[in-house]
Amino acid sequence: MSPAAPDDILIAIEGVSFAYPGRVTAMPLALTGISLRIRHGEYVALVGHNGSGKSTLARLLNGLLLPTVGRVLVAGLDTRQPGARRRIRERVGMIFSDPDTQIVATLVEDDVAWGLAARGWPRAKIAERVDAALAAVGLAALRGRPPHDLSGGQLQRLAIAGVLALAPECIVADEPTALLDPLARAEMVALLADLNRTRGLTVVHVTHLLEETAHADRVVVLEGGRIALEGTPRAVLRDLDRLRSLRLVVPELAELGERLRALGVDVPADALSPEAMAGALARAEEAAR
Amino acid sequence: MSIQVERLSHVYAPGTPQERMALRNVSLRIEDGACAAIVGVTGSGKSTLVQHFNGLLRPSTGHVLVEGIALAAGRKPRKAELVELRRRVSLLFQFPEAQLFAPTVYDDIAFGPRQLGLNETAIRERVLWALEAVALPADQEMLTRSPFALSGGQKRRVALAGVLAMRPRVLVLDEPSAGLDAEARDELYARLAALRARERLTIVLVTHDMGEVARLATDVFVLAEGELRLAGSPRAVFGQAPQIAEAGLVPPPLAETLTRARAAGLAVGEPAAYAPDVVASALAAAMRQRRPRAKGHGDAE
Amino acid sequence: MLNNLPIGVYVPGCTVVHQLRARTKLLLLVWLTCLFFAANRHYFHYATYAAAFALLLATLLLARVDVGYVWRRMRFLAILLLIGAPFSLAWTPGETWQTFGPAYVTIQGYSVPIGPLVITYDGLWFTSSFTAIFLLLFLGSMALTLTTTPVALAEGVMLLLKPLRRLGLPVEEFGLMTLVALRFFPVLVQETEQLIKAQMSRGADFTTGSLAQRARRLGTLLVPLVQGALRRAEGLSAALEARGYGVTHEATLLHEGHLRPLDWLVLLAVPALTALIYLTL
Repeated sequence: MSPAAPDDILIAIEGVSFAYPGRVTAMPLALTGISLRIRHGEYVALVGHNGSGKSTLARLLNGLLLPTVGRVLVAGLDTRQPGARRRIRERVGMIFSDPDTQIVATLVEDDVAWGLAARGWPRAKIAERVDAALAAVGLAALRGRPPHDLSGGQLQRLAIAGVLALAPECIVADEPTALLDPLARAEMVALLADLNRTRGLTVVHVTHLLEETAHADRVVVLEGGRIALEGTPRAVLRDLDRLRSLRLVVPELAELGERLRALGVDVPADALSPEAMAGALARAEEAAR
Repeated sequence: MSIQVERLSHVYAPGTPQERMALRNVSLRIEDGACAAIVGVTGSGKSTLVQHFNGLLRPSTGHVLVEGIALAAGRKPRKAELVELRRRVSLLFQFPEAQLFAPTVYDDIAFGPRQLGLNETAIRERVLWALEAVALPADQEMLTRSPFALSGGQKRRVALAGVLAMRPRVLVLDEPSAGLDAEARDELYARLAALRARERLTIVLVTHDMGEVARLATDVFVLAEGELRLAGSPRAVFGQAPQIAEAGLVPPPLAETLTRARAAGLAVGEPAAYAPDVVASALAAAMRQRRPRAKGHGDAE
Repeated sequence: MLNNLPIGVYVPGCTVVHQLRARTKLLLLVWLTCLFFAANRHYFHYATYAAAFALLLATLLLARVDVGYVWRRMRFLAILLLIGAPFSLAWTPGETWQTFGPAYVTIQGYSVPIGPLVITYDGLWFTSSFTAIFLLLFLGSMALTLTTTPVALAEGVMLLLKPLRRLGLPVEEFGLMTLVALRFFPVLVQETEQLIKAQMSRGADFTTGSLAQRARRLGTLLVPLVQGALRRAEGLSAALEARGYGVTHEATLLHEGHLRPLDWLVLLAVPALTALIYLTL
């Protein structure tokens, strides 16, 4: 295997296993023999139930955790090299599920600026980046507010703005919707898809909800610390029984699609939103005529 | 009648710059043994409303009658009334696992019964009953464990057992499934359904998840900006997609699919239930019905 | 509980007080503290305290702070001091000012003496002056935190402590600690309220009971609060690391800059004026 990843690969995970040091659990390894390549501009959904290893894998992508065996390369930089960590974290930004613990500063705009200030950027350039990042997530109007005035969904968007301000190539979102209400959840998924599509940002979206994977180029399902299933959303959602056996909840609309196909109505497996399903039904109707 | 709310309004911090009207003139009734879902976005007043049910908040105007105990504006309830009210109505807050505090699972669940002044035998009986009710093993190993060493889903269940041990008539749950994964959520729903069936417990569910409502509720109350906007059976309420969207909520996907399919010209009625198989049959039937007619129309041309 | 801490939540504004650098306000608070204790050596000289009170009140009014709000927050401290006052009045030794009693009460035919109550000059002065000092410092820190954004405050603390960096003290960390403490203060208040309500729902009674019972109940609050703080600290440290905390030593200051003419003016005028009052009156 060549030490440097090919040009279109942003993150290369090579034969990675991981054990939490000093933690005695039923499962000694949190991850076992994971190999995965994430291309520039790709949208990858990492799916699995709680304890499947998906969040551990996410934390390996920017060197928050280091592999016990194998290695993770970000644009050719090994996360195990302490000297590379700073550059890696500038390329791979990360947001977490708890909106409350990611915000450090006490004003929206100060928080977006915080990462840049910590890197010693001049104030004028910081201001420019902050304006752009806040506009990108739709929080420009709330820039002077304290975080405890914001809803959970707004706080998560603020966390994304903090990452965007550093102009990363990739954003790793570790269960960004887990603590949000359904509307904020839908907005967050749409925002990630939009950042991927319009800015070419590489997105790694960790979730336990299959309905959030509709925009992904590739779905990677983890179970017991191993990759159990990998493919486009359409391919992965074709075998619902397999997904159930991986302890995932099958989205209601995926199940509706399965039942409809059994009844002779041809709808695609990845019609996961009511809009997509209604559209598919209209097309099926058209085709039948 | 379990809960009766009449023209209830609530104002936070009256007479200060932070004054805020959280509830306006809300009236509703919840029958004995019902599972009432109170839905609305963050800040719609749903948490404020249910905190009146066990006297944590008092009405600014209007009144609330819960299990025969009345709380009205302008009258401070007697202490005995509040004690009795909290014995009959248990409230489980959001992320209740963050409120665990005792060194052992037993002590945590026993906290409520101890406040009731029961003897140790009765307390133990209640703790064991509550553990069984939430499907946790009621053995010595579990009882002596630290609640902090449990998994997230188990912690949530211990917290639920802690309020169940009060043996309430009414159980109010604020976002009980938030942050749980699918498996833990299904388990929780099954437990709640069993409690309702077996103990005839009245359940009040505070949520913004319409899927949860579809799974559990017998009655739905939609709040927005402190006002009651919609009330009725889940089927009746889900049929009103525009009003649901106006309240800032996401309609359940199956209901929303039907609404959109109808808008696209498919003549499909209300299904008997919002379950994938039932909806699929209804949709397939509607499409079969329409096909010959569409063909006939084409022939005439 | 937390509502009684002398920390206000920053209220945005663009008054003169808001525009002062955080360092200026911090230094003035330090100056006032020193001055109060110096003034304490001059028995029955209230002029310094009166001047400081006038100054702080003027500051609050200039900053358009809701004085009623500050008073409601201060009330608890005032009541506490009021409760303590009789004890310190009665038990401070020194030169006698007045003697009351002894009074005789007849119980079952016996005449029992109560007192005499001896109030000393020291008792009078220390009780009144320390009450004044506590209230004034409360007012001062409220004025500071209500008009200064926590980021500016953290930067101010860091800049003022900067000389200590040569002694090997982690000055940047002090700054971050200040910021995190101020950031999570409102969160902690909310969480405590929620915990109290949750336990009340399980039959707990926070309003009655013996001191021991109340102390035990406080314990049931502290455990989940500490657990919550630890959980939050874990999340926060991961987030800070991911965002590049500590990558350089010279972080950009977002709010604190050079002291402006207004700052210098205030920094010279206030100490000069108060020192003058202290020395002459």
